[in-house]
Amino acid sequence: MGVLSDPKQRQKIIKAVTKYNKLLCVILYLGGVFGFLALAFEPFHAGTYFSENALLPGLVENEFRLDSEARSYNEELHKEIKKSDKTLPKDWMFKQFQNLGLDTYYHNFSLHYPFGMPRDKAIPGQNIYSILRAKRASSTEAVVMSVPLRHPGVMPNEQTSGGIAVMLALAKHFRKQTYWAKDIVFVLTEFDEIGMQAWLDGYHQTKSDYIISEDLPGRSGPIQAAINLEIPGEAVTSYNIKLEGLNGQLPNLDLCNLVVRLCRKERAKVTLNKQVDSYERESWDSYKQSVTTMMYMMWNQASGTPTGNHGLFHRYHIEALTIQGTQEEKPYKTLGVEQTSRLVEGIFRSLNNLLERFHQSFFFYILPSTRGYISIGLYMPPFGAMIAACLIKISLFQAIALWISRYEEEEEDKETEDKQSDDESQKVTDAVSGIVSIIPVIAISMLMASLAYTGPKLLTNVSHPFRLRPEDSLMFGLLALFCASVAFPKMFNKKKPDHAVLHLDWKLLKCIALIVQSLTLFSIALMNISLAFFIGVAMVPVTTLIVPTTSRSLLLLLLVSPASLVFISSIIAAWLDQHNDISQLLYMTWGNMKHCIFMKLLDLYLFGNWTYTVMSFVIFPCWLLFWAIPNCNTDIDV
Amino acid sequence: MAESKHEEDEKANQAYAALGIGIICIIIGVPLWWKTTEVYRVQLPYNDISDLSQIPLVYLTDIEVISLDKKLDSNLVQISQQLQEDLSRKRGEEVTPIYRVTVRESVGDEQSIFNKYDNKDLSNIDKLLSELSPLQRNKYLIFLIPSNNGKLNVFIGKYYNSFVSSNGKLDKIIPLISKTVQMTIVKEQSVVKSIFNAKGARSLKPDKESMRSVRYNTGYDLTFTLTVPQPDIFDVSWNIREAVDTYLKPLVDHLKEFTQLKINSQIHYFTTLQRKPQKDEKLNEYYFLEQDLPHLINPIESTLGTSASNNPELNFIVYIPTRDQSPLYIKDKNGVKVPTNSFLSPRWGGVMIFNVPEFNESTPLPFPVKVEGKNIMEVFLTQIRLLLNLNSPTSSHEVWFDPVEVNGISNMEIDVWLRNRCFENLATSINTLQSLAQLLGQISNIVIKDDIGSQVEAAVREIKSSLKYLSTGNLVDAFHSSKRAIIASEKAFFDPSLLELLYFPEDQKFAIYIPLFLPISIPLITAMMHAIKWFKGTKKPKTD
Amino acid sequence: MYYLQEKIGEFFKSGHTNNWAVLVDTSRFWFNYRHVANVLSIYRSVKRLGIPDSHIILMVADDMACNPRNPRPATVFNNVNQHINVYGDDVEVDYRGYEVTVENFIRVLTGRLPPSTPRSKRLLSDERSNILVYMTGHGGDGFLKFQDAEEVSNVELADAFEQMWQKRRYHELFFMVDTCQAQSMFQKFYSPNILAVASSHVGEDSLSHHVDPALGVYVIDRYTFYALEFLEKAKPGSKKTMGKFLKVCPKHQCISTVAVRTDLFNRNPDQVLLTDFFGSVRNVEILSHSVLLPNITSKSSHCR
Repeated sequence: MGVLSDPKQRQKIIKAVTKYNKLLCVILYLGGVFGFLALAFEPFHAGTYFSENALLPGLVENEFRLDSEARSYNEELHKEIKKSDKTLPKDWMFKQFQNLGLDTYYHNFSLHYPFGMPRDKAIPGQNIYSILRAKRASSTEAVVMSVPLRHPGVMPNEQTSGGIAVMLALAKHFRKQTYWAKDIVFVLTEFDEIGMQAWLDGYHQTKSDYIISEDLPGRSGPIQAAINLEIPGEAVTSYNIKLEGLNGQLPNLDLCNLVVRLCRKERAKVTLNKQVDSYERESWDSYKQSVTTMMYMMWNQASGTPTGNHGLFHRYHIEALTIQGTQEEKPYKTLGVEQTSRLVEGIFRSLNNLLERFHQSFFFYILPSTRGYISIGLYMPPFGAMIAACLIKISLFQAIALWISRYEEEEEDKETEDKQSDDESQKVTDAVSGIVSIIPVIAISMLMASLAYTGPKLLTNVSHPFRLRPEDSLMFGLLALFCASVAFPKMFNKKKPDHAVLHLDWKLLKCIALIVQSLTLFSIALMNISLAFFIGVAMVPVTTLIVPTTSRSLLLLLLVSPASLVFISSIIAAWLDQHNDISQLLYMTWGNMKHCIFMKLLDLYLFGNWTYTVMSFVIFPCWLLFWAIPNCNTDIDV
Repeated sequence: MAESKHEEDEKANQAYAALGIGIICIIIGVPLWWKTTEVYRVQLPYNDISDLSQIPLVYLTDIEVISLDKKLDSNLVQISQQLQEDLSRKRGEEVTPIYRVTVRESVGDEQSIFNKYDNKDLSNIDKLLSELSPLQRNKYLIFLIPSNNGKLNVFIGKYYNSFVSSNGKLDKIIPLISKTVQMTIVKEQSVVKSIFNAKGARSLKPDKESMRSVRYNTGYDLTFTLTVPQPDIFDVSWNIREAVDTYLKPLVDHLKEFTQLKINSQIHYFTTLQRKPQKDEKLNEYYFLEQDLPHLINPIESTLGTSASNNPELNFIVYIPTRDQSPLYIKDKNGVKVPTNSFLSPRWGGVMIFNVPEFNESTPLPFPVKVEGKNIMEVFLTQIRLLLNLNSPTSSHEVWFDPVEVNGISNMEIDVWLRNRCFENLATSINTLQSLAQLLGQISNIVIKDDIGSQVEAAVREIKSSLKYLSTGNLVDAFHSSKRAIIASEKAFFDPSLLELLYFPEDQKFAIYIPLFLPISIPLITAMMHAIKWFKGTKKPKTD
Repeated sequence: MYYLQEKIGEFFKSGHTNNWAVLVDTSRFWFNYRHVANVLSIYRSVKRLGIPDSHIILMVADDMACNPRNPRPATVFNNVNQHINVYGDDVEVDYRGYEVTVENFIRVLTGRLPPSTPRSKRLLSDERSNILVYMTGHGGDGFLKFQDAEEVSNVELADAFEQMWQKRRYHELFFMVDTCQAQSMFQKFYSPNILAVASSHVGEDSLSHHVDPALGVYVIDRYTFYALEFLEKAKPGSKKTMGKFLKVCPKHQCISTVAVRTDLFNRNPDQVLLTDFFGSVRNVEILSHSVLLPNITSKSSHCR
């Protein structure tokens, strides 16, 4: 009963929704998915622009004239690396920084491997970093330039020695200038992200469980931005920008725009996920290109793994990205370390102008090209429409429930009191049994979920005695758990002669499951839209339209189970790696699956990547709730 | 049946609920919101302030005419009447002077003084006469002296005595006395001008006097600066303290009761005028023309320094020209050298160029130069009088003034000054109060604190009492009241707390309140309308 | 024995006896370098034409010269050829940094300062003062931004000028504003004797002039650049008129349209000298005769 408004209006809306239920669901879902994908079309989204006025990108002229020095650093480094094929010439690098007069330090850390044989064995690592103090400022802020140290034996396009040469040349140039308002910290990390995490832990004095880092001997102020360089020693043809960070966090869009603008100033080709922007704007080809770029970015973001060292900075509210030098087969124009140095110099001059942290531009966006962006305001409505399909379904049951209750109220008024009491008691028992029947399902799904979450630790403990590799034991153990959980609904169909029939109120269960699903998908979308999108695209149509009768729905549901999602994503990954032969594809897929689960767990322990947590603790029980529906008895009215 | 009753009940409940909420909102909510967003404003006497300009401005002066001319002994009453008539004629100005005229014969003491001294030695007579009785402010004695040669002259003394020569003919004497009183002794025009300028009105013709002099203030800072651009060549010294004590102190003492003159002195080295003078080849002299003078002050002023008080500053500069620009003269428009070699700048001060006496090349450097106090003080005293608006009168054939010399100022000049300043203060404070009242009325956002209210009331009180004193002729008390009035009114007007409260300018108040009140008020109002309609509906069938 | 009457000179015909200038830069941060360069250039011109420091109130919201980002420390240039360092030896900033607030600005104009304020921070003008008010920064329709945190509205400014008029704190006032949509700042004025010029109309943006690539910032705004060109050619005794000054920076140079308001000003700007506002030509009066004093000597020594 409404105090200030009329409840009758609401009834009409609910009746309308109930009538056109299925149609609405389908329309909303398809509209949402296609709307989302259509956003990649250039006229539908906005072009990039600079929000932060303080950046003044590219306004100041480049003063870097140490081209020959950069090249000589590159050659010398190349020679030093060649001397040994096992270790990197860290001492040489240390000495170079020290000779320039900067505060240079070694930073030691050790990694305690979470799984695997000797638990107590710690793997030592060492980072090198040096700080260039701003001459006229008081070390209140810093910007970071980092390069991951890669083993000499890696593939040539994964080398990062060019980046080290750039760093040295720039350090030499920057040291002489008086216009720095922030300190510049040059960081060389061992073991890629692990070393970076260790350094960040030491800098911010946080602690990780498995990475033990010592306190940093020298420090500067809070870090405002970080640029990570992965430039190989040979000349590159284009710069690839990598944005995606841990758990799908992205750096501020202004930073990306800054790098793009400065690359254009250098007349260098710039790509996102190695995709070049198309030249036309409104053609079908350009749309295909944009959608491809968008999908690549979403793919990377959904995995939650950082695509480079930069991904670890985002947690500390530091904007960071990686500039990777890529080499094509037929180079049109090559860019040597000199050009890269000028590019990075321009970036740092602009970063120097900043007064506050990046706060003006977007933190949540999807980039279909380097010149356009899809902001959260644009992609949320189609995504919301997609999820709304679930909610419409809920309203069906809600409506029915309301409708029923209303009818019953009116019946109360009509009948006499005795009848009322009879009806009431009966309904009460029915209602109670409805809710009570669901609780076991929920309980079991939570139990399975917690087993899936805490299982790996147990599984890896037993892997060593069984002489299995950790990945294998994990894989098999989780598969076993999955099969067990698939079988659990059979328990409900057992009838005990003396108990009343357990009528599973599947409608209520579906309502609850749909609510849980929408809630989880929306929550994930706030942080990592891509993950939510992919899961939503797969699960929503199936779970919404599930009814307890057909076996076709059983099969469909199985197809969107977490295990099969992992399988499908592994196939896609293998296909992206250009393995087209079917048997090789399947073989690669199996390897990918094992690798995927293993790496996700490793990321969870080392960096706190919650993709595995989400999949095992949130999506899995949700799916299990749905799994109960087609498997239950359908004696009650549909 | 039951359904409609159920509906009826529901509708009734809805109506009562809506009305209840609405009534609470209006009766309790609106007054509460009004009271809490009120601005604290003390009640000011707005009526009194606007009435202030209605009070007629009058001042009373006592004139006593003492006749030493035997020929006029019989006409004393007639003189008195006619004089009174003449002086009371309406002038149509804002301020009305009222004169109390008494005419009498001279008494024995006065007679004896006149007999002792010759008529020519009027200043001595003046001095002795003033010793006869204690000096009273605002009371002027006019002695009618028989004239020898039939010419009519007036001599104004340093104290309160004036001497008018009479030839026995009333129709010439009375206008002369009247004119003397109005123009020379009381200076009615200057009172009118003071009020006019204080009100801020500007005449189309710029008025030199008002533009030149500084406004009244309870204190002035006078700074004497000796500027020596080449101390290595000229070793300049001055005894400024002695000069000030000797020549300036009397003026300071006379005015001590009414305004404080604080005197500082300093010597500046290595500061030049920075403008090249023109050279007169024949005489080997340098000179500045009148149009060059405005540019001379700025380079010096930048190095003068400021005092730490808020009093108006008057700077007096003695400039010693550099050796290659000596001697340096100022020439006026007609090319004639100015004898005083000085000029003044309105409301700022004055500059005097002191030329070093000749010396040969062989004298060892630095050449000692002594700046005489008398020379500079002559110039500066004149300038101070001009700048402080002391109304230096000029003698002519008809009217002679006893030169003031070391005294600095004569009693009558002080009276004139007091009267002018008093009216200036009154006009200014009335203006200030009225504009303050208008301002506070116009901008309803300003908080008016208690002490501002008390200052305003004090100012109104003092203005009224000052006007009362003026109408009874008590010049000194009137002046002090006016001083207090202007201090209070300025303090009230310039109080730092009277800054506009523009948190919500009027036109943006809507933008602030709408998001707050609109979402609630729309359903409330529609519900209330429904409720009222329903009430009317239920009433109708009953009245059928 | 004699006193002679002084003659009235022709210098008294303009009606004002002293000049004041209130120069305000309201924006801080390195990328607003050009606003500081604007106000310092006007300061330099005004000083060159004769207004002394004691009559100038200079408010600069940020310190560009000593900003660590400045590649030429201790200098502020207003031109890419870097000929003139407008932050020279004798710049006297009265309100600096965070002291430049709307409240302080209105207090300076209306005179409602706390009693402890020093003389150099007060506007001690009287009814015979001509005042130049120059403001630059970021603005919008009806407001001007101070320090990125607050704004002064055109209504506030108009009320402040009215209070100045009521208390006879100016004889004539020239208001110059160089911001975006600057015209809105003087639209609400209602006090007499105000002449106003703005660098752009409502709805237009005022643009900056050029970049200095060595510094990496825009160094001056268009309107102020052309205004300075005009002022640099004027000497202290110049006879240029305000009418010509108001025509500075036509649309093809400024890109925005300069807006002028003359209805509150009762003289014809073509007959008003530039130095009435930008310079300080003092009135002088020659003293023809002086008091005669007797010679009183004493034996005390002279001081040096």
